[in-house]
Amino acid sequence: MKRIVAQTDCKRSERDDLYEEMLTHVLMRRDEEMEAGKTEKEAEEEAMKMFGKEAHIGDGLQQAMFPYRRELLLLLALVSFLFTSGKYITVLVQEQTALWYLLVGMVVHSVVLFFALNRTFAVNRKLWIALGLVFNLIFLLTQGQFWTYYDFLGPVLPLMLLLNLYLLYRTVLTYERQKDHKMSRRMIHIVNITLSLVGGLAALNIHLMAMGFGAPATILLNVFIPMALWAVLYTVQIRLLSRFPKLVVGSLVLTVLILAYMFWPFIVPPVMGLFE
Amino acid sequence: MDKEMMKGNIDLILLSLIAERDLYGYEMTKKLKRLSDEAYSMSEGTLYPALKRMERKGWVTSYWSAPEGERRKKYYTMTNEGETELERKQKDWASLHSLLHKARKSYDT
Repeated sequence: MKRIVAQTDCKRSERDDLYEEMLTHVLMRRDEEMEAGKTEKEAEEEAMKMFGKEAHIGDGLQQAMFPYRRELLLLLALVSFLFTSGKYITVLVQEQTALWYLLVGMVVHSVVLFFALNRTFAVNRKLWIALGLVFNLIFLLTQGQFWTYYDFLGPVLPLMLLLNLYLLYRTVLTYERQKDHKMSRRMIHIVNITLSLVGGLAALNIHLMAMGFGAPATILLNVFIPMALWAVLYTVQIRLLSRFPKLVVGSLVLTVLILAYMFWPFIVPPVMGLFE
Repeated sequence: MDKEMMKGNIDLILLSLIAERDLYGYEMTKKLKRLSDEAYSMSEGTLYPALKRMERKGWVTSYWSAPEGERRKKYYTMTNEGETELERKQKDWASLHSLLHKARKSYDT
C-alpha cells in the first residue's frame, strides 16, 4: 500500500491520508473474506489481489491528482532528445567530430522519460523524477555554447531550462497543508537550489578553464569549500526555520555571500578599480 | 456489463451514488455490485483515481469518520458544484438515451 502512494507527487500528509484510506479498504475486504470462511492469510492475499497492480493504481492516482504533469515531463524529455541529437548531428556534419559525451545527456533524458511513463515498477516516483530532473538540468546547463552551431535554436535552451526548473520545483517543493512558514520555506528552497546550481556550475566551469590555462588542481578548493559550507548552511536553515523564521530568511544573505566567494577573483579587482 | 462503457461514465455513476448519501470507498464498490446484481465489480484502481479527480475538481469533498488513531473511514460528500455537474451529466445521458431510442425506431419503421 505504501508503494502505491509512493507513486504520487503528494505532500506527506496527503500520502498518509491516502495510505490510511486504502488500507482501511483492504482490511474491510479481508474481514469480509474471513467471514466467508477463508483463513487470515488467504483473505489478505485475496484482498490485495482484488486491489490490483501497485504501479498501475499509483499511476492512476498520480494522473488524477496532478493532471498535465506527465505531459510536461514528456515534453521536456522529447525536446531534450531533439536538442541533444540535433547537436550531435550538427557537430558531426560540420566538424566531422562525434561528441560521445552527449551520450550522458541521452541517458539522463531517458531517465526522465522512463519515470514519466513508468506504470510497471512501483518505486518512489517523486525521488526518482527529482533526481532525473536535477541531472537533466545539470546537463542542459553545460550546453550553453550550443548556439555557436545552430543559431535559430538559441531560445530553445532557456525555455527548456525554465521548464526543467519549473518541473523540479513542482515535484520537490510540496508542503504539508498546515505546515508553518510555507512562504519562507519556499523562498529558502528556491534561493538555495537556484543559486547553488547556477553559481556552482558556473564557478566550476571557470575554475576548470583556469586549470586548462595551467592553474593547479588545488584551485578547485575555491569551489568545493564554499559549496560544502553552503550545504551545511542550507541544512541548518531548514532545521531552524520553524523556530527562527525571520533569522533564517535573513541568513540567505550569508548564502549569497558564501556562493559569491567562488567568484571573488572576478569581483574584487573591478570593485577595487572603482576606488582607484 | 461492458466495462469500457462503465469506465466512460464512472463520474456519473459515482456522483449519483454520493448524491443519495455520504459514502466511503469500500461501500461504493459494494453498493455498485449489489445494484448491478453482481454484474459489475468496480476495481479500486478505477475507484480511487476517480474519487481523487472529482475531489480535485471540487465536485466532492471528503472527511474522516473518527479522529486520527482509530480505525476510521473516509466519507465523500457532494458539493454544490458536484450537484450542478451531476445534473449536466444526467441531461447528457438522457439525450444520448433518447438518440439511441430514436435511431432504433428509425430502423423499425
